[in-house]
Amino acid sequence: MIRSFIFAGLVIFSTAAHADTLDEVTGRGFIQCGVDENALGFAQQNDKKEWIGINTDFCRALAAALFGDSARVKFLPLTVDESASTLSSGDIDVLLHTAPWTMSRDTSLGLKFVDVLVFDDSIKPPHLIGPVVRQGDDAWFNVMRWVRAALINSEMLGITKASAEMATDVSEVKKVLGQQTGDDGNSFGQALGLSDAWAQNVIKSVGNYGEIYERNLGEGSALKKPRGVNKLAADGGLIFAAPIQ
Amino acid sequence: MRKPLSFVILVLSFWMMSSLAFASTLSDVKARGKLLCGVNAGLLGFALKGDDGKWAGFDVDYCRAVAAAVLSDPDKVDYVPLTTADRFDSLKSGAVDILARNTTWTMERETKTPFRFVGVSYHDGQGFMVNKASGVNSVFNLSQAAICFLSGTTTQANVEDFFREKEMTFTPVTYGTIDELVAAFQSKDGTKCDAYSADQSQLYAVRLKLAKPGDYTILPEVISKEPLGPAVRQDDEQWFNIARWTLFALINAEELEVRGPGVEDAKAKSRKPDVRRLLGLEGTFGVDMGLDADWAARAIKAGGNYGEIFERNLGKGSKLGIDRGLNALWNQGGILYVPPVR
Repeated sequence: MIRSFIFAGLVIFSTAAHADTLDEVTGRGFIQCGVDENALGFAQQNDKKEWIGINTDFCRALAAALFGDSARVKFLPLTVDESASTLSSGDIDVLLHTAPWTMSRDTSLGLKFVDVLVFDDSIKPPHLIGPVVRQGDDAWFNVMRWVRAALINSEMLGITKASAEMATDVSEVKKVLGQQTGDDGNSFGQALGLSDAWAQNVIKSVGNYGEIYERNLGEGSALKKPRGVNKLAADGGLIFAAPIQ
Repeated sequence: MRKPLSFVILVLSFWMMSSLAFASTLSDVKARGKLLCGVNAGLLGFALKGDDGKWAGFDVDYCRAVAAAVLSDPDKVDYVPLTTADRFDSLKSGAVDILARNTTWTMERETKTPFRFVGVSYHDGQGFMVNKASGVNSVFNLSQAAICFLSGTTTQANVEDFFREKEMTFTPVTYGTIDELVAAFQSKDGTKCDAYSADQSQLYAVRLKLAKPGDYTILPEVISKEPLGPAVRQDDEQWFNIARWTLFALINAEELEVRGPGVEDAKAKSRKPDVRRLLGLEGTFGVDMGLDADWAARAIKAGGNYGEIFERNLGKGSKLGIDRGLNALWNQGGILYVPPVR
């Protein structure tokens, strides 16, 4: 009886120990990102041992948002089987794996999918690939969800890697670039626990969603996959994010 | 040494378990025997109380689906009509378990206030209504037009941004109430309003109140994205999962062609693994979020799949006649696509 209570206590305790991932990552100075070992277009090491892919670029986008420096990422290559337990244990902060979003992965492992980063339509029906975090950490979930939204909204608003420092008088663009606060006078970055320039740093470092897609899966890559369902919803695809408003 | 340590862990674990238990909306709803659903006080198509005292609408049908999943009875819902001003306080205080009140999902609402949107149930967007006699059939015909708005909303700023980008000009005309705006829009003396701009779902509802609805049309373009969806409190993952997957189940049901009246038939006859998982014949998917295997079957039976709910309340089967548009399934010209029950 006592023993099982102690066990329950330890389980709850260890879960709680990871409840503030944002603080932990900030204190550590880099983000630990679980990725596939070798998935063309998603996560792969090139000849120079650099990680390339749309999933690894999302990790770099997170590092840029958190630290203003997209290099502050440590990649941990994981098999499908070890990916969930490695995230549960706290050895990684976020999982970007090609194991697709399903109900059981979303509800039965103490983990949850944030949103869709890529519709992998090499399979029918398309598989949904996206970042996964531990349940019970809303501040960290917010960072994931809104970095993704910043990439997508930037493409929609025409903010590119080259133009991320542009001057503008369009209020939607100013809000993304940290030049205009929300209605309450606080910046959007502040609300995430990040700097005002969080999203600007992301786009400056890795580009917007379309740029990341083309570099890793599209025209600029070996795969040369057309955007297809991964076009923005406004352009006839399925990629959509709520507005930074 | 061992006893004090185990005692500390025991106390800590009770304390943490009790703080976890505090956040269990599912337990509260089950104990109460009713789902408290925050809805619009009266918006045709979304939530409206009929003369018979029954609530109906797109948001109402979502509440009914959640109640069916959680309480095995779609009628076990108390509808709490909320204004735009008090909706978030009501969710925060626990006066409602879920907010299904044609509310736009924005970054501020998820990061500056402790709410979580579970997904998009309806893709709305700001549009324009014009008199058909004007011959205007696109927003690009509206250069130098007088455009009317309700004051105190973001609609005028959205049009300013859009027109500046397209290098077009317009004359803004604002009114304090919808009644004043509607009167000006229909007036015959001159051109007070060449166009009326608001969220498209509102334009469709307002059009029904005009003297001759058939004389007016809603232009195809939207100039802002307004994703509407149900919201819950943060810090309760189990309830988030239930709200999220009830919405996903309704959309999956449409894609798998499982209709409300056909649920029992599909349970008896379907051999499709996707359908069998959705309806609880294979796997135990609802169990992981504190429900049972039959949760989704009950949710779909309550008011049909997503498409049935849409058409009855907003679409072809309703007075509003709104096209599915972006709200069609991904393989039918829209953008609705959700992960599978598996």
